[in-house]
Amino acid sequence: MIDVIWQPEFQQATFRCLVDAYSRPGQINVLPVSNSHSAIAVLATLVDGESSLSDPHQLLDNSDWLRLQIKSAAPEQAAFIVCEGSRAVDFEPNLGTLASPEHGATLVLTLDALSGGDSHYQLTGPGIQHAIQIAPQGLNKSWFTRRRHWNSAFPLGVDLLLTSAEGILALPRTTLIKEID
Amino acid sequence: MSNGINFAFLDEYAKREIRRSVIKAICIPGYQVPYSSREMPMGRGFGTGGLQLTLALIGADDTLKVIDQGSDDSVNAVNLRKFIEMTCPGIDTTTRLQEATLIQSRHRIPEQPLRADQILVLQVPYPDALVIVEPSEDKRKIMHGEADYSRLLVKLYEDIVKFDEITISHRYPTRINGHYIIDPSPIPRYDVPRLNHSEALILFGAGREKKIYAVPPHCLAEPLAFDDVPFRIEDFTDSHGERRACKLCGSKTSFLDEFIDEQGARVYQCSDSDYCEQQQELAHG
Amino acid sequence: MGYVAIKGGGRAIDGAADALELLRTRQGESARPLDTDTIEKQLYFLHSRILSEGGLYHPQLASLAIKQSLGDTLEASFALRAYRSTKPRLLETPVHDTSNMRLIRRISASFKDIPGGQMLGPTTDYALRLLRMDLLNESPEQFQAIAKTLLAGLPQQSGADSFPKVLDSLRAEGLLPQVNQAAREQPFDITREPLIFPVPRSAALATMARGETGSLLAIAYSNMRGYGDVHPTVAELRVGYLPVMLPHPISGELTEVGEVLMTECEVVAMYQGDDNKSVPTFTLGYGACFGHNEVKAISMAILDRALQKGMQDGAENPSEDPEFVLLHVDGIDSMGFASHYKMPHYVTFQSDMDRLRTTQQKQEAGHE
Repeated sequence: MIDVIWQPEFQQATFRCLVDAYSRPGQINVLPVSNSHSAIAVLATLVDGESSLSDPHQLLDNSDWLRLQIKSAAPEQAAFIVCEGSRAVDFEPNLGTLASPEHGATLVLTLDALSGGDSHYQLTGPGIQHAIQIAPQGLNKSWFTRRRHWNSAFPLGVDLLLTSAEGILALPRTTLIKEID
Repeated sequence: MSNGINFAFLDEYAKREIRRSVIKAICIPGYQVPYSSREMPMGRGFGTGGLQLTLALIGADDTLKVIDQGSDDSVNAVNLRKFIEMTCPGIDTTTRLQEATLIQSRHRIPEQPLRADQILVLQVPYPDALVIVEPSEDKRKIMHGEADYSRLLVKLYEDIVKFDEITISHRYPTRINGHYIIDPSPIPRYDVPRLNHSEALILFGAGREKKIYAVPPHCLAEPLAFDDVPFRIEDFTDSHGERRACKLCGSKTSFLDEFIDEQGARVYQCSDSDYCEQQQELAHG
Repeated sequence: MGYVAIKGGGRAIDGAADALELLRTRQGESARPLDTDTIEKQLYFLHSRILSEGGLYHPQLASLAIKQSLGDTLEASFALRAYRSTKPRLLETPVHDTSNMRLIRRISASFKDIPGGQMLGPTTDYALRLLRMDLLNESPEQFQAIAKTLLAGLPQQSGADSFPKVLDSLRAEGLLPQVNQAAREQPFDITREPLIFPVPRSAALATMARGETGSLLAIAYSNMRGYGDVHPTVAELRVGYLPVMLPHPISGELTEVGEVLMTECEVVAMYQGDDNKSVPTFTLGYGACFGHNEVKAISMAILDRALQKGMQDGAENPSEDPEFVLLHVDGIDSMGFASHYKMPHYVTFQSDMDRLRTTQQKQEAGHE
């Protein structure tokens, strides 16, 4: 049986979750029910042969690639990069240009859980009315360190999406992240 | 489906492209994300950009409101709503703002406050506020990236020198999150403050010019102004210094349409017909 | 499921649709509805124009679009274009070599004789534009007999119907630059990517290929008259059917899936030195579109040359400015926007009046 994530109705509902997640950084959004990991569901919703995708940690299997109708790209060039969040950053994503900042990559990270982690972070920025806290579980710290560097010259930068079995949490390039001791 | 038309008209590749653009638009507030913009079966300029956004967003469980110039019953609003109803079986439509999950509008932001679970889609004829000072898009893109708006500010300043007043009536240049300046579509100045820290996401679609941009919720949106010449909304006070009221519901706070009645007298009426009707219902219990 | 009750606006739209349908059908008892075949054959050039400006090669639906839009070229192309939006892209053709065209017409203005010969074919170029009053009362029998008689007088088709390009001989002689291999990269797809300037030549060609004929002609004409200096010679203009090859969905092998009627024009312009670095050669302009549309193909070829010059040396004239040309030649965009001014604008007008009144009051106060 083909999973629902490849159906237009699922992708429409998932897209609305993504819109809400990016509109309200730090908020955990639960995706519609499927048999796939949220990261794959998100890719099914946003990616096709007219975009580009990199999978440096080999999280996708052959049938995923076939259904996405897309060929693998290097992480330095890809519009979407899917990674294991527990591993350290080992590439430099596309940050876009001053004239075309939308070419800055979307990084989809898989995590054990979106909350309950040991490190706490405070978020402020567009979409956040009052500063909120997040504590993603199993996130390698290099992601936020490198992110600060990547996003240091707005409008250039990358947009993160943390994913786990429970749902998604978005961190657009405008969100300020501060670690709380 | 009859006629072999897809749910929400567009093919899934077109929707995915719009969806990718919408996400980037939210991530880079006020930046005009270029997209390929498919031809819609209504004229460029009749809201095809807003329509493509609505079609990429809408699902069978949505309740849609379509307004044009504040009215749900204007011909263009009716036309768009009919098309969306025809191509999106299962959706609900409404005129009441409170019932809507998705609102597509031309030239107005509704009078009543939007909620976090609503999305407002505005139709845009001219997406770029810099076009009045720079015709080349190539150059405008660099100016936007560098947040170089000096020529726009000079233009406003020249206005003040000449007329002692900023003469921009609608499409008032508005700075988003301290960087990009947007053309907020031809909403009156009265509506501009409602872009600031809105509860709802506001998306802008320019179909002919092939651009999508966004003002996320709780985001700073400041109309351009100078310290000594403040931004001013439309003035509805009469010669006695009284705020004019809507002749139907009596509201003294709403944006008013002005027209000449059969007797030749100037009369005023709420531009937002849904708000006006709700005010009348409240008054009559 | 709830629907908004239809009020004045909805009734007005329904009424307008009825009025338009009456306009289409009001001929009365002698009326015969147009069939799509008749449109394709007897309104051949109109049909060609819609195929080209609609940007979709579907002869039958192009006829339908003409029928339902009562012959309005902008509306008909528009309907075809909108239909295109509902269709996914399943396969892409490779780059096609147009020397494989099955020609119905082929001329060169640059040489008296060309390999394969000139072939005048169907054209009004040398026709006297006198009204043919005899067509006013053409009977179906007379009409049907004409083609029969004409075809009977023709010799059996013999020899080749595809010919080498005139340009090949110029190129062999070194009078034209060699084909730029870099230009053979993946062409820019205007239906999938917005134009962000500067754009490659392939984006300009694709935009013009479905551009509005009158718009292309007007801007090209400005160049011909002196707002520019292309001074073209038509090296070759050809009209014919190009076999379309697609990769087989399973084997991947290229397979002919049909043919498209198209017009192609190559103009040669005066030579251009490359800053003394290389040998001067003629320069080229290229135009091609679906259907039989000669004026469009020639206009496009001239604009292609003008735009290449503008891209290289900077635009000195409107016809050399890629943004100016490419953003203003699409009929669907321009007619839509011109029409939208018919929609109500009372909110913005209210806002305009407010500004004008305030400014007037301030000026009056200043004069007192």
